Amino acid sequence: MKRIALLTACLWLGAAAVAGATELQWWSHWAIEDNKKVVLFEAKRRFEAKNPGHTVTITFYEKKNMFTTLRAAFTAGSGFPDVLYYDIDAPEFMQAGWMADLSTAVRWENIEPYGKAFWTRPGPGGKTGVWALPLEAASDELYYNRKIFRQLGVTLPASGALTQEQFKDLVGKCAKAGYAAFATGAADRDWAAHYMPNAMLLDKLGSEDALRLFKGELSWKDPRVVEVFHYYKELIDLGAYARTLSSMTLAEAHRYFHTEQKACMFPVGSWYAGRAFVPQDKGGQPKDFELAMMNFPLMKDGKGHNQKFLGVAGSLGAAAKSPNLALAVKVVDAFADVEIGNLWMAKTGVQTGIKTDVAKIDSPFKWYFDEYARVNKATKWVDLTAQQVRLQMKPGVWDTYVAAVNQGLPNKLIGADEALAKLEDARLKGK
Amino acid sequence: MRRPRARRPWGAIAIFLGPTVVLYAAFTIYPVLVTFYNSLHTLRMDLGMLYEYVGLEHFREILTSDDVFWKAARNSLVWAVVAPIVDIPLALLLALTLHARVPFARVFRTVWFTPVLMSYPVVGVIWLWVYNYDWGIANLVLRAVGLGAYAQAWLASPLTALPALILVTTWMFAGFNMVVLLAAIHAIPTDYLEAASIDGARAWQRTWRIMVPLLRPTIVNLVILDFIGKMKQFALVWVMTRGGPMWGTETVATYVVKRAFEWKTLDLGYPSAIAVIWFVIIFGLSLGLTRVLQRREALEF
Repeated sequence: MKRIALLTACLWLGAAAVAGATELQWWSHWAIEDNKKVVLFEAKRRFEAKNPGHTVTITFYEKKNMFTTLRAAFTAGSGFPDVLYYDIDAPEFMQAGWMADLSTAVRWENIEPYGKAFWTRPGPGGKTGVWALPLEAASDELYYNRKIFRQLGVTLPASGALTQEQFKDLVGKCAKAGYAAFATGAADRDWAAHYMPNAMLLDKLGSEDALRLFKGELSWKDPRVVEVFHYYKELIDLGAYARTLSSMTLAEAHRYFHTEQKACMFPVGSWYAGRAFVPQDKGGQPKDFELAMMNFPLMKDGKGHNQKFLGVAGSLGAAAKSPNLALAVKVVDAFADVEIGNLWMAKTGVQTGIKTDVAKIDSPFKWYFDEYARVNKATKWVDLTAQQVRLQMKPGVWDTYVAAVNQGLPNKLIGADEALAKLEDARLKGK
Repeated sequence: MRRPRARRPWGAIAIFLGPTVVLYAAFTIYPVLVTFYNSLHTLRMDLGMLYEYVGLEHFREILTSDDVFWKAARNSLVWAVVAPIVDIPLALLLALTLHARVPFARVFRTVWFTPVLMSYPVVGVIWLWVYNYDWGIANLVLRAVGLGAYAQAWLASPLTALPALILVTTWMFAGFNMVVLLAAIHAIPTDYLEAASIDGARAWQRTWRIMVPLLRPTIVNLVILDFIGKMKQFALVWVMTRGGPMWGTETVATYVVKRAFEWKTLDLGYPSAIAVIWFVIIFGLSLGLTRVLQRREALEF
């Protein structure tokens, strides 16, 4: 009799537990970035350990497809996940009220203040909230192939920055030796070929005027902007970009740089490390690849020397209309932990918006952190990245910037003056 | 005395037609009405997702100051006009080849029809490989026959990108058009062709003066279908070029999607207005084309 009672009690308890169990859905980018997945699965494990009975299923997508699907699901009001990868490529999610406000739900004391500040923005109806937790932070960097530089006899100054003329000479040397200067693939990213012009505009104008330019408050016919574009066109005409630029994807550009070694330099976000520091058969760089970092060229009479773009990148949010919102927010909060920050740095080699304890980071990428610190010793950070420039621009100007600067100029389809005329025309239209 | 009217079987009508009508209303009529409604409104995210009535403002802006729309319209029209001119004669040639019972006709029929079975994304990826500058088959062939100077990034220039895409759709649909034409050829009574042979007509005369006129209704239908299909071209462009470079392959459909989802405003007003304008243009042109191409006196056999 006692046994039956015990069994009944066990069954009842089990049934009760199952009845209260929730399976949370989490959609994430980084389908091919195993190092980041390790961190995501660790946070998931911690959440599930802290919340027995509740489980999380992570589905990995490529970002572009994921945002398209999310947009459709949110618009339809069903089929969206509880937790989602989020970044500034989809700013309208915040304004539409699709993202949950995390202001009070996350242990923000474990998040870098700039990370929280980045996501503190106006939401639906202008109400300010904090819409995501910054997992990844990245700066716009210029990587180079040390072996090729050695072959070409190129040496860099201690600052890692060449003058305009020296840099032009370098691009010419690369082209003459049969290399593309830049390993850029613009087939699947609207901003892939923006790194060089963005950095040169920042160096020439300084952060204040560069932001004014992007916001449409400064003319694209400003003589300093014209000078930068003309100089950039000279680099392009020297053979700065591969002829495969427009058919090369971002993933292929990585291979082009580190595996095929067909380019001298790679202007890209510092999330490069996340893709490159995985085993070679997963798309990582070869073990003997000699990765190094330098700075963007110093423009003549530039007001922004040593300035560089840095911003929050891949983040995590919760769906405002999730039926499991309280739990979804707890999943996000699982990342607000210094140990997770340390793990992220150690595994990925990419900066994070989560606070870290450097002394406790045991990483095979220490050499890379040193290289990053060396090249950015004198850097003054400006809160923006190539991906985020679209936030500053009106949609019509951004569309033109993509067509002219990501496609037209680097493919030699148009000249600097034509590109500037199109941009100025779009700016004046104010759309 | 009036004959009593037969009672209509309303129950059966409702059962058989009901589901279709409901589905048609839900997935065709309603979206069309919403599109028309949206085209007169704009979504104000700054006012908390409020729809504001703007009258014909979107239409005015599209028609008077939207350069990209006109580029997209031109590309779509070029595609819609060029494709039938290339596709249909090619399909006719293939159909006549098969009708002539050339050796391996069954194999050719299968090979030529296979691309029709593939989806646009698959076809797009295959042709991205074909057009790759470094290792694409197009440039490899050119280099192999000593024409390496003509090798180029086919999708990187507005001059070559649109023709390159038109070639893909020709490759994709030649088989479909061929099969339809082949069926029509088989339906022509052999008496006509035999009579022509007895009268001394040569093969090309029999083809040109008897078969082609008798195929005219089929050809006209294929031309119109091809025209309408190309005016709505989206998926292939999206996979291969996303409208680039420099709007060189932008079609009205890709532009609508970009304005609706890539401009990050969630406003469906402006893109809906583009869709309405394009619907009217396609409808008008299709009607005109049908009137121009279809003969009043039908050829019967």
